[in-house]
Amino acid sequence: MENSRLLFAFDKKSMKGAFYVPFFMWGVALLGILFYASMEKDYYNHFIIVQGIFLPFCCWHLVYRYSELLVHGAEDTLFPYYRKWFFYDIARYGILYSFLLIVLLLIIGIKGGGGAAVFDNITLAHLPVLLLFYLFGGLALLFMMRSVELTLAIIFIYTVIEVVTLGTSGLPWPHIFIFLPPLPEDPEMTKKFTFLLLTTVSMALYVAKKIRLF
Amino acid sequence: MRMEIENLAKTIKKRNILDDVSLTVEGIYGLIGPNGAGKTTLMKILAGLQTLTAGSIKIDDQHYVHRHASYITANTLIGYLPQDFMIYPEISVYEVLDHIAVLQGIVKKSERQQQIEEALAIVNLSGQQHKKMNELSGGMRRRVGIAQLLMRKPSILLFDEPTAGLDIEERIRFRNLLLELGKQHTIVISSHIVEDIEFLCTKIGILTQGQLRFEGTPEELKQRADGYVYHMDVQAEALSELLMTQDVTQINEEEQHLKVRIFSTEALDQPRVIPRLMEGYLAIVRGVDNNGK
Repeated sequence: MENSRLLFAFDKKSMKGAFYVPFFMWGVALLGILFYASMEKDYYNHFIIVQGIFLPFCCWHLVYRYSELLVHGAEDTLFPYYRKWFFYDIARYGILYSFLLIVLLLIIGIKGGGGAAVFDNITLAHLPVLLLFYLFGGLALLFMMRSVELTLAIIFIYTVIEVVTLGTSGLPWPHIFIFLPPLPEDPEMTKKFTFLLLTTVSMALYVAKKIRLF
Repeated sequence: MRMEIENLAKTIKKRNILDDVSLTVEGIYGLIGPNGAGKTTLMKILAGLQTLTAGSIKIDDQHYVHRHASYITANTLIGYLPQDFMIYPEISVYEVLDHIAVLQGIVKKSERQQQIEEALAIVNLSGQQHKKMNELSGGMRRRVGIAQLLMRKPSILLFDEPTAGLDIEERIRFRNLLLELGKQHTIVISSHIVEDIEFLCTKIGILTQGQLRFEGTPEELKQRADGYVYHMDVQAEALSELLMTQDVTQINEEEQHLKVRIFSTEALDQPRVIPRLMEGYLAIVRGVDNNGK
């Protein structure tokens, strides 16, 4: 626990204002859920807000933290330490974002009258996988591009286009968001899920290889 | 502490970066060789940052490369300082070292504080601990690099071109620090600067094109050029031509003329002089076979 506190404190210091960006976006998502989306009409907009505003920023801290390896002259010194703490880093940010996600879901539940009717199994399974997708996707892109700016630009351009067009952009890339209440046994949904899982696992393996875990 | 490297090889895309390198590291060991000789690769393999293709590494008779392993076994015995050390440019020296201590697993604040103060005192940076990393000179940054290494308490320190790019004052300070560290650590220094090697090292290895061409004491290296170094007095106007035709290793200005030292494999009608380390290095690089002379 003390380790986590010290590591978060250092991240806050090294990232400066950028450290608060995901929390700010979480706040924006929270306000969107509280004041914008209507429970009666388009209740699924709540989940679109979570997917489009909060979850993409789950890559943020780790991208910044691991970008320290890209500073000229730093990799040889920091790499052994970062490898040693890799699982811990993933866990501490994974837990932090999961907690923030759960709070948003609770707010959606409370707003929906306290019932579980607003939640469906597919959405509840989709959101954590999407969180992992961004967590590992950010790192995978960082190791590929070796640039924080390029990594974040790719992630956010992709997300914005997907969300604005509600996944109908027609661009030849995967559509991983769910914009309508999912229907069980929908073949499109199965395809989406399979792709999302496979991509997330592939990116996690790529990152693990880059960090020399195997 | 003694490190034995046997038949070490590193191949990248069918190109031999290191080819059957065997050396025994003890005291302060100087690794010299031209650019691209494989010095940095060797250092990085020893530091566990690069793979090796074949070979064994023993530290005090204990194997550190297991069968079929491509990396040296993770250990805390070896610390490596890269040539351009720089981490967390916007953070102060103390905070950087404090974070490194946390990453090393030291949770207790008082313990971290003590280790940082000790390390900073050794590298003579106690007064600079609140400066940001990007406000430090190259030499100071490297001293921070040494401080973070010392906190791990390694027994073997690897320095890649430690004095390259430093001004004269910093270079002298850094050299003295390395000499001081050599009293309690085994040190490997890779360098182009033969003077530094001469000043610091008790043993020297010469790598060219991935192969070890020489290993021995500085005296043994000097001996390799025995009989190939000449002294000559020349007029200033004749110097240009001499520089074009001969390997001039030193020029001293006298009142009436210039005194030059020349390394030559061809016999010259000039007095021979006792060779220096640089001339020994030239003899090895030029492939002069003077072994056992």
